[in-house]
Amino acid sequence: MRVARLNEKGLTTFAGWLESLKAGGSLKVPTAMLNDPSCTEPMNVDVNVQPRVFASRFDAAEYLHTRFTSAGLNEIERDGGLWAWLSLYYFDEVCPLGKGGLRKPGALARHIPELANFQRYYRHLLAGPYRIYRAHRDDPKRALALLCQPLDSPGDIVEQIASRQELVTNRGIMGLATRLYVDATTQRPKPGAGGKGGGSARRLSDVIEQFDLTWDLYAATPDELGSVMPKEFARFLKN
Amino acid sequence: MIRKLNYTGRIKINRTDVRLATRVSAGKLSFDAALQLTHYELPAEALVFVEAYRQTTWMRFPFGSVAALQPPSDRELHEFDSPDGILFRVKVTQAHDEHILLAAADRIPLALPDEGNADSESLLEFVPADLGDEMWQVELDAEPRLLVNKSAVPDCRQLALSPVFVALVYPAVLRQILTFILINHGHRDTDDDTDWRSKWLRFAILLPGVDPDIPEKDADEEALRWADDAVLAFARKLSLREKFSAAWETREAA
Repeated sequence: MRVARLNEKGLTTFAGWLESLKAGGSLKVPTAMLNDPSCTEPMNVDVNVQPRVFASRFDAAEYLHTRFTSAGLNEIERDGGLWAWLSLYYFDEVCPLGKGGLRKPGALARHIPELANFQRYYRHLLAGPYRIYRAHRDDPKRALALLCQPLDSPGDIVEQIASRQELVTNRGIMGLATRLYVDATTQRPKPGAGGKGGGSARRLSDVIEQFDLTWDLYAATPDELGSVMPKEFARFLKN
Repeated sequence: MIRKLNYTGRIKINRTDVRLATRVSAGKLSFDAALQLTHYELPAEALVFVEAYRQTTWMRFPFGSVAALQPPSDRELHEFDSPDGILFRVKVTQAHDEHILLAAADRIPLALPDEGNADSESLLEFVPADLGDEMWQVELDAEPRLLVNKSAVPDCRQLALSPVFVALVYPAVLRQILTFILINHGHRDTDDDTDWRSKWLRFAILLPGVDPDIPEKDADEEALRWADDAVLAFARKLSLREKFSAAWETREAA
């Protein structure tokens, strides 16, 4: 299907449907909007997407990055209408039917990006992983700590690290986070990586914040950073 | 290698010592930075970096050392689709261990974009003129005007935009105007938006590496050296030598 962006009316309608869904309204996804000229506007460039099952945030980000890059579209991170359209198109992926046949869409920012809000922009379930993938496009696996989760449930590691610009854009820190929190065999988060325990992603954020006062961490490698981390991180570094 | 944890003497760089502005030229967004770091107690050889960032987009530019600031020739913000919301930080690190942070300034917003050469066009009026055998003059009766001989070539406007003319003439024009303002007028005020002299001094101060403190009225020699620095910064900002050489090579190959 040819990608478009939701216009003002489309965004309002989509937001209204999401609110009604949270309130127990119709489960039927309003996919007719996707090619309704009154709710959409065309992109300047032809880009097509196909129905997909995404195994992870990484899978989705890689697919979308490939589609957009091959179409010559690189500056789309702040195109809210586009990301809302994609959320609607992939709604079964970002908000699958759960127990009892119910959908739980969560906060609006998960589906309609709040681009100007630095505390919520990264929460969009498609634009969020895409941004991280693009920021590390020279080696996207480096950022697996923030991309290995299921598309519809990013979890605490993402919440703790993706919200901090100086963490999410830093190669060394992202390499260390992936080494700490991603199981090399399963490519899934290690138990205990989320939450508030010792060595968790929340603690990594706190410790790096302290380091940041003293060091310019831009050129630090994951090995260098790992060698100066407090002992509480040892259990994650060993596995 | 990171070797120690107990360094806590980071210096805070005042925002007034960091001036940033974007430019849009040929559809490409880039920035200029004027940094004033010499009055901080920092090692002369300490390294200076400027980082631009917005959410997950981030770029870093090496700016030489504290004593010898050298903006990179390529300051295009190609990772950013627009200047909206871009913030900057300046970092100074030890020369021999780039991890050790000596000084920093963060969350510095941009000045308003300077669209193309709009500022220079508004500052310097171009006037085709009868100049006999002389090719150009700067008229300084009131606001400066660049007079260009209108009978030497079919299109004197094109001549004035040619890389060879720009490289050879415009630095001399800038030097003449700044000298006139500083020496003949003894003018130093940069804040009066209605005064063309203030606008020209502000233009010079915003050039990368130019000292924002203009020498006092009774220090003519220092003022002339300051003007020389501004002209050099102007030439560097526009890569005039490079553009001149490229144009010259093209001419010879033709």
